[in-house]
Amino acid sequence: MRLRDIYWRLMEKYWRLYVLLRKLFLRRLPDRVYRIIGVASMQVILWWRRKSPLGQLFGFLLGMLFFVGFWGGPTLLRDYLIASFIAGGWSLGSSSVARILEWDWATGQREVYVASPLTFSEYLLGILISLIPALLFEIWLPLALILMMDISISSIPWLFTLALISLVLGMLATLAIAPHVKPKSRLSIVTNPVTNFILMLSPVFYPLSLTPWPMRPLLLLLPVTPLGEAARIAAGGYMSVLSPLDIVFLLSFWIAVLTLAVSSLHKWGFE
Amino acid sequence: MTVINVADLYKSLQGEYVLKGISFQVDVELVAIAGPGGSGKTTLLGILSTNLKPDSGKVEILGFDVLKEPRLVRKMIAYLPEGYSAPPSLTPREYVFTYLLSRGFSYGEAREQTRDWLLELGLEDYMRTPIAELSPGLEKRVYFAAILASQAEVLLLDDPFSGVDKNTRELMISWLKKRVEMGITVVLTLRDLSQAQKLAQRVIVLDDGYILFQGPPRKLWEVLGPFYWKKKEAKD
Repeated sequence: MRLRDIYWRLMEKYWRLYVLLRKLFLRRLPDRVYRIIGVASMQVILWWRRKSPLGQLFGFLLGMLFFVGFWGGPTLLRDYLIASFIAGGWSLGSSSVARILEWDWATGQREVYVASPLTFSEYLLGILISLIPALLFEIWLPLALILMMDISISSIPWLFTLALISLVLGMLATLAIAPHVKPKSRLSIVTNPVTNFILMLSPVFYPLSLTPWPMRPLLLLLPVTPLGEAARIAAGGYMSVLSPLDIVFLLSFWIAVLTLAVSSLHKWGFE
Repeated sequence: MTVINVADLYKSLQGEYVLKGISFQVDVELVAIAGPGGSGKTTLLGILSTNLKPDSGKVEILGFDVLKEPRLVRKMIAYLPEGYSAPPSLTPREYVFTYLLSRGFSYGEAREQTRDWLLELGLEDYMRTPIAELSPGLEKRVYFAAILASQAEVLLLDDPFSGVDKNTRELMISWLKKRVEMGITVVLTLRDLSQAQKLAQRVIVLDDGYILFQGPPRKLWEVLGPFYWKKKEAKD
């Protein structure tokens, strides 16, 4: 069968979808949509060109080797895979945003963006969207491995949603720290250790119930803690010390506080 | 028609005044702001591009107050900072395309404008070459392609010819002049006063935060004297 025949067969079958997509793409969308896509597409190209997917894969495998090989043995594999959704999202959000902000400050890209119709929220949304392919790449291997275990498929959308929330929280955490760092061209030197420290301190790779009582109030003050607990509940077979309502409350609290901090601390131009 | 109106503008950086009550107006024309290093050129362009906040004074672009209506002002300006560099792994086509999208161009418009301007600026053979592999002159052409394609009404260029060969510079000047003929206002900063005198329709000379001269280039030497710049350069 020739390529042309295949094309016409597909057209016959899916012409409604084709017309719909054509209408969608030929219609002029609001300017702000294109501005967000502009920022996002530049970052996605850069992520790919820097060979970042290889680095992400290497990081995941190295972490697995450490946890399974040196720390807890194969019994920890399940915990590690569940935790990697949260830890992956958090690390990706915090470190990528630090790198992007740093680059944009150092090269004058931010000044170029300020002197254009692009707004600060569109800029951030563009960065967030650009991180979604990286997040998908971050979680595909844990996802593939987790599907071989006793975890139901229905928990996957929950884990993905939690990874996305973790990404947003990581991003907001870096953005909240960023205005206090000078010079801005060395942002990641300050923000990466802080966000990594928060992640290491939080009970993500092990359950909150295993931590000593006196430490729990302190651990509950960390934004990644409710995410780790939620991921374990979503994966099933775990009784958390936190109720789902507690988790929703803690996550809403952190998103609200960090969003407020970012919107009040950051300036878009007029330095 | 007054495009840029600056009145009694003051700006301090780290406790020292960089701009000391300057006032000027710009029409649809090519204006060169010249002055030695540290005279306040970049700070002035930073304020015009809404990147810096003035301490006091009034700045209007096309009748809109920069401080009160920045969103309207930002729709009408495009800025090329001094020493700007785009991500080196991007190709000229990717850079101009994503730049235009980030200004609100649709896919079709951005694709068309990218192709047209890269061809116009003689970059057809380099469309898929990473910016890192281009010469400084070609790299500057890419940024020019983006800024000229932006359809902004006011172009603000900070020291745009640094590190650029003579041919590219001549080409850039001719493109800017064409844009001015089409009703676009161009404000650029230069260190070299004789270069400013050759290319601009009007020159504003800044020195130590004050305006020493503003007017047509032919009157420059009459006011400042032919040896002013040489003395200044020697002193710096």
